[in-house]
Amino acid sequence: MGRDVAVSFEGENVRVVYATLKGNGIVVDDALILKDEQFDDFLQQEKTKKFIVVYDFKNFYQDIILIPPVKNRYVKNLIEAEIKKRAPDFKDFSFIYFLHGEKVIENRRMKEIFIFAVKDEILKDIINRFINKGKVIKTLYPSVFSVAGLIQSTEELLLCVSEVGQNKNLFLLKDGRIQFIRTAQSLKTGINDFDIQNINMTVNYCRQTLRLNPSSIMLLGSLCRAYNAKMDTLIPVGCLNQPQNVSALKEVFLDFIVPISAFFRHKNINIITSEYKDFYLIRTMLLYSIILLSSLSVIGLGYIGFKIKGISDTKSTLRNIKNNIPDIEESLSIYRQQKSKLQQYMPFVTFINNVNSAPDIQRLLVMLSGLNINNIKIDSLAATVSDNSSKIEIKGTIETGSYADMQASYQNFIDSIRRLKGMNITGQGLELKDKSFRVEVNYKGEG
Amino acid sequence: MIYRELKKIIIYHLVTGIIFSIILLSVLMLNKYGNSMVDTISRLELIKTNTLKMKHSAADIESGIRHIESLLPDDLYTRSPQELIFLALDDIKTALKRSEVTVTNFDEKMGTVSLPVSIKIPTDSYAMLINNIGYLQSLKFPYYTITSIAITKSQGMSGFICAIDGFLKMPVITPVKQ
Repeated sequence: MGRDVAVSFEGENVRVVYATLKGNGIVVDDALILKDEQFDDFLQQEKTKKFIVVYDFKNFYQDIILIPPVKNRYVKNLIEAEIKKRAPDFKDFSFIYFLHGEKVIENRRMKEIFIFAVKDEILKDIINRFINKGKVIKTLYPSVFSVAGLIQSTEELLLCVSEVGQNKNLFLLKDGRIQFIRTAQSLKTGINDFDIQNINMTVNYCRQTLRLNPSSIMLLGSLCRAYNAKMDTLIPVGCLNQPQNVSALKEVFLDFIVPISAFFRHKNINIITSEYKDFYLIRTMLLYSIILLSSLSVIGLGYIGFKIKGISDTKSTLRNIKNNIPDIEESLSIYRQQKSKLQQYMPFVTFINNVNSAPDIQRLLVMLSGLNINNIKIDSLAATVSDNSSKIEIKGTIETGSYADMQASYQNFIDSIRRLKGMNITGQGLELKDKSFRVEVNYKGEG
Repeated sequence: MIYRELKKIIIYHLVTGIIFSIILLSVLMLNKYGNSMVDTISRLELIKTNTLKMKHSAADIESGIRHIESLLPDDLYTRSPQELIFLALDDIKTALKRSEVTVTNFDEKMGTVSLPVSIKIPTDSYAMLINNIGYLQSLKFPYYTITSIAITKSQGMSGFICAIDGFLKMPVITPVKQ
């Protein structure tokens, strides 16, 4: 819900309306009439930045042209070329257009388009008045098109009459689309016989030249209040009632119908120059960019604050760790001293390790004492010690009567060797003749 | 030119742009600084751990040195390796009374002085033999390393004879006592 300002340039007067948009309607907050020469001072003092502008153009070019059916992006170029062709004095201009329908001419389907063009120099004069005071024009509507937006579209042809200063704008409306515009001079404000003559002439022109037959006349704004004509019109006359979505005093509505009409969204009737459109677009983009950058800067500042706090916490943690670290130099010096001291003992360490790497003979003998020597008589035991293993040769005889007992005793003896940890039998032999035996064992024991 | 009117907005835009750039740069720098500080903390933690490890290592080395020193005989620094070997040889003869001890010549290689020592021990008891072997293996500085052992029945006598071949060994380098 925002408060907008609409400004309508109507001859020597400028009508200003302040209104608040509420849903689909508006609530008129204030309205005032200024002289054109007061307007610059008004702009200077007014705080509002953006304005909806309505202008009653005296010099314009209107026509209905036919163009071949082409893609939408080419339509504008075609119309521009057509206007330049038909109105040679229009070099730099802006225009609005409406598709009226289609016609078949010489077996070719053509698009029928109503055009309304205004020279850029006129538009620039209007725009510069605002720019010079640092103001922005949101939209610039021709007054006839703006006020036509208030009239409900009907299939019947309506000849609408609105008043600008003393002059009257007559426009023919069908299905909400303007078919023809005429500006008629008048002797006084309101409707009098002279105006009725003009209206009747326009009705006849529509019938004879345009082949369009308006069914009634619709008076707009203050014209209904000031009807002083004695002459009759050719067709019935009616007045535009105040729409329900316009909340304003009736007098205000009638006097300010043009600026009030500008508050409603109108499609395709913004006649602002393309240069200004680009200017407005760039300005809007820059403003949004400023807002975005400012927002990001604020977020960034917040993040910086957060980060600084984090860094300060980290710094204090760092200080604590630094304080708790033992003296590195001292520890390193002690470590180096001890290491160099150890180096002096290393030959001893190596010597002791080498000496101790040999198998433990005492342990080996203790292990051998656990052998099963039932009926076994050991004659000799020889062990040769190498670096980490020992070769043992055991010789003896078996003292039994029978061969079966001999074999059993020998097997028990061999099995008891195998059970010993680190013992591996590498060779063995039993002589039946003298019952002697020989066993070779490889022993890998702990040094 | 209506674009002149954009001058003020462009200046505002430039100013906000510059401010934003400064803030963005600050954010990036603070991030980098913060990360480097976190990195420093982890490095300091590592240094702290390593320093403690170094302290423990120094203590371990010290206790190791003390252990090595405890293994060394007191007269290691006053006598030569050969002298110590002869002393040990005398001890062996004393300890193994009935044994026959034969020695050859000293040999010195790879920082070790060694004396080949052959011992013949006549004995009736296997347990006694094990004790004698244990005694020989318990010798420290010089150490007695056994290269072979042969136990045979003694001819015409009860019991058996144990022939042990080995070396009495001493390191040549003597550490300076701290």
